[in-house]
Amino acid sequence: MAASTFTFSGFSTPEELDPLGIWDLVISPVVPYAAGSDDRGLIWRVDHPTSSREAETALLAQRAKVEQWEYSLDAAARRLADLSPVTSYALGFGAPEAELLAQIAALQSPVLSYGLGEAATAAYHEVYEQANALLLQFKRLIHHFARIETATRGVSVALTAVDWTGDYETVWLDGATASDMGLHLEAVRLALESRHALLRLISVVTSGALSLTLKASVPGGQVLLLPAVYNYVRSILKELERQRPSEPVRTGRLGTVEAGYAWNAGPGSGS
Amino acid sequence: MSDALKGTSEALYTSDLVFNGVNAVTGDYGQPPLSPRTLARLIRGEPFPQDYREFVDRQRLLSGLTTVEERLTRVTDAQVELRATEDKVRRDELRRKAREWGVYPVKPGAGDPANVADVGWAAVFPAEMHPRLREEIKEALRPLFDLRRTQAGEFFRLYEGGDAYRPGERKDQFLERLGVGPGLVDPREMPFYVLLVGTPAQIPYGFQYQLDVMRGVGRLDFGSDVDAYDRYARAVVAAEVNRSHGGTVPRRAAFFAPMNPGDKATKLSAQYLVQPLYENLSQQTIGNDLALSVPWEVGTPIVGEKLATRVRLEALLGGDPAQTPALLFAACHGLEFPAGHPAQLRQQGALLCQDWPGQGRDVAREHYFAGEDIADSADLQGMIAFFFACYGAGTPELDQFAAQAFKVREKIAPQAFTAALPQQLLAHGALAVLGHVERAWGYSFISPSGQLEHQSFITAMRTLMNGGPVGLATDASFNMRYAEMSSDLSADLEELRWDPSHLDDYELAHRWTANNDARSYVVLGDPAARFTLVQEAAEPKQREDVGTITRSEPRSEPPQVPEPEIQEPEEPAPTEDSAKAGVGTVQFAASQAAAGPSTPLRGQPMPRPWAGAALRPHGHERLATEPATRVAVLDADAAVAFGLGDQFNRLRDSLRSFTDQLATSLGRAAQDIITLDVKTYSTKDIAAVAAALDARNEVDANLRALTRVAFDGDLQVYVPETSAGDRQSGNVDLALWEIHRSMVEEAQHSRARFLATMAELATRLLDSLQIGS
Repeated sequence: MAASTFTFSGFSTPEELDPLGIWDLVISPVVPYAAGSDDRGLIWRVDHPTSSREAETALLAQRAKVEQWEYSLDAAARRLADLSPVTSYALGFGAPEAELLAQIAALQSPVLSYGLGEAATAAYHEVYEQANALLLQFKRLIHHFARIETATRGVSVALTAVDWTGDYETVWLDGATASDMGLHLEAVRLALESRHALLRLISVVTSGALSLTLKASVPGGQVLLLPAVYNYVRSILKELERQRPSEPVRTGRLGTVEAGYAWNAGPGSGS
Repeated sequence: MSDALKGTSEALYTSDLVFNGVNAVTGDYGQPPLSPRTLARLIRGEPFPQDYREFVDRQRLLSGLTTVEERLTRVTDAQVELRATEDKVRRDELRRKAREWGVYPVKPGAGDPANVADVGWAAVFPAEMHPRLREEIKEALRPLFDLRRTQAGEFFRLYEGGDAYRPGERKDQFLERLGVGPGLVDPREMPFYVLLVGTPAQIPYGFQYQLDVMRGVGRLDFGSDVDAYDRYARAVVAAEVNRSHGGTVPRRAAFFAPMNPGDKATKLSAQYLVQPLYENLSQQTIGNDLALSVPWEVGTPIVGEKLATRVRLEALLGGDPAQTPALLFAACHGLEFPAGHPAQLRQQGALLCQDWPGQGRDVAREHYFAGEDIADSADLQGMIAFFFACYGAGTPELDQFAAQAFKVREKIAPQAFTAALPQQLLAHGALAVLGHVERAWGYSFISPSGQLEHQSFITAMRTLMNGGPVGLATDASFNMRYAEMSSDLSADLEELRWDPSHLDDYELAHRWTANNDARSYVVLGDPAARFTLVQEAAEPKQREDVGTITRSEPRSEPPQVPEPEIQEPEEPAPTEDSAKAGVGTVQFAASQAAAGPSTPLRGQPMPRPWAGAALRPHGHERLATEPATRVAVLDADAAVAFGLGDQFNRLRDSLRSFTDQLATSLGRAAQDIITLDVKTYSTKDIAAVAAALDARNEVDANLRALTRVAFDGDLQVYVPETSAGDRQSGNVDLALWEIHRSMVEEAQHSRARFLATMAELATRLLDSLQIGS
């Protein structure tokens, strides 16, 4: 049986991959990365091959993944906070730390020497572009409404728009079943938890860049360090993900959602 | 039952019920008096409109005294269901306990629950605690950890990092994640004695209550005051080590009970709690109560006019060493402040003394005793205090009273916190404080039939007086009572849904009150802490100096407590920084050097890599010392000098644009936050709706339901009808209604979380712009 698909459009990253590893980013060909002119906003879409228990389980598994990812983000933030470029640049650090510290050292070098060569200037231009692109994407994430769509067997059954102040508007297809409703509610939760996780990523990256700026005296300050810190945090998250054994979806979470389904179904619907 | 008590009991049931707290701002009762019938309706979740108005209007009046944001948190049906599930779990635990008879509360064969070596000891840290602070606290608590590790051996655990308590986790989730099953404690899975280290905002009281049902649980919360953790750890270790070497504190118990003029609550607690307790505890053996293994000097209760004064309480709490007892029981009003009041964190739960002239009269500062009134020189080493008072141990964030009735819980504090008075006691050498979280009801020690119900108090006090660990003292008393009450109440409420005559209003009010009361007793301090008793000690020794722990004279017989083995620390050579580490560090190191080989504090100074940090505020010390302004200057100069000025300016503009966007959106949100709208539509073509949204055109869909939640909790609800045909009948489309309600709950949860994250992000960005511009 085909699996449910999860797509996210209106947002991109330097690596063109969802940092959470859940959503397939839909990069519009007419909207190049960092252009920021796609006005459709942020759209999360979940397509289920069937309205079934498998679809429900897939959604729950993804939500558990977001939850786990946020814990990993906490760990990354702690490692970032503990990083001290002023004490040692090379010794006693793992690979992600070493890479970040090397980038910091490279960015610091003009302070030591004003003889900036052509290659160094080009490298700086690239870093500036990356930082600028990242900021534009961050801006998109907070500027646009969130829209979540659920489809079953290719037919859209529900759409929810969430504006910046949290107002919800949900449109249901006439005849949507209780099962459809339950799946869409879970999709809304998953999408908004994903957005929250990305916002926390921004928060960790920006505050981490600020902290390192203060420690390392990088010309260009926090903004220049954004790409390096972003890449560092992504590396840590990947490293933690590799270390983590695959876990089944927690039963506690499932139990909660099952109670929600019983609710949604209403008396006698038997869903 | 005596006639006097019977008369009092009857009077209670024909008049309003009074809580044991006084509002410091109004001088009135913190909780308005309620009739038993009103209370019963609230407990059932079936209030009359006038009940709602009376209760909420009062709360709003109080809340209006200060400005507090985000006062309301809704309780959803799902949470109500969750509570029912938790009640069922508790019932199941009790049933299992009845089947598996053994040495409650540990599994048969596990050994003596009073012995840490048999049942283990653990500390739980919150995942939310900053790692640096956690390490500092661990280092400060190291003497205590070393002692417990030596006693508990393989049953010593630290739950931190991946095993830490995670935000929002329920007890059952926490245990399940750690592979611990419900029921009697198996120390191999998780120790019996559990110390929670952190604030109740980090590890909620609700978690503590539930974990406490089957375990001996205490909490240590000094915020980021690492020195206080250090002092406390050394005090507990000194007490237990002295125990093994003949040292002890005077075995003297004192009772303190004001009876404020015209005040029913304090009159009841003085006459029907303190006096019977005194009469019971002043006898070494009585009936089938636990016999006292050593004689105690139980002082005549300090009750009422001219006696239970603030001056006297100050003397009892270290102001006069000759009057300071080992065991203090105080029953009085605890002070309550409106949420967010400037004095709330410092003074809520302070003990209101006889000096207060009574209900409705102004509460003056000289009427109550707060944590800040503990003298710096106060020596409370070895003391255990028991405060029967509203908020005496702490305050939760949300009102625990209104949940069932209104599905709206008022914020009674900006965040949950530990009361300052017990914190100060522990920081001055006290071993533990037992107290009440939230409001205590003075009515709970008398049953509806007029029977005194203070067996829990007697059992707890006698266990303590026999040298039992404080976590065990509450386990066989209040925790058991809570488990039973909760089980009964849960069953009764379920039955009442179908049979309104199952329980009368008075009985229901009593059961609810007793359940709430028993649940909310907590231990502050190490749950394995205990009095240092030496049977043959005719003249107890003087208290040890907490600040400078020195070696005690060894006894001739072997020590009763196993000696902890301190690992030889891999301490680097002392540095200049460590030399500047402050008085506490230096004294500790010196005392260890003097401790000699037979104490657990022997050996080299404890390694304290954070030496010096304790003398400065935690959290932003690095920011305060790093050259932020130098960075700002370098930014612009460096960029221009390298020929990258345009690019740099563009980048900075991007950051500004991003931050402006954030600020604009937050500002808009602040304007629109007054209401939250959740709308539900139906349509024949979702794709057409999506296309219309993309094109910003009018959407063709039928509005089926609308909920508007106002900031003050008011609701406007429009419900969906099934179909055009059914509109005549007014039938509601239940399926659509249920999903709409779910969306409302989701919207409320999501908005709160989203705005909090955005506000944090905005703050950080604005900080960075200040530095970068």
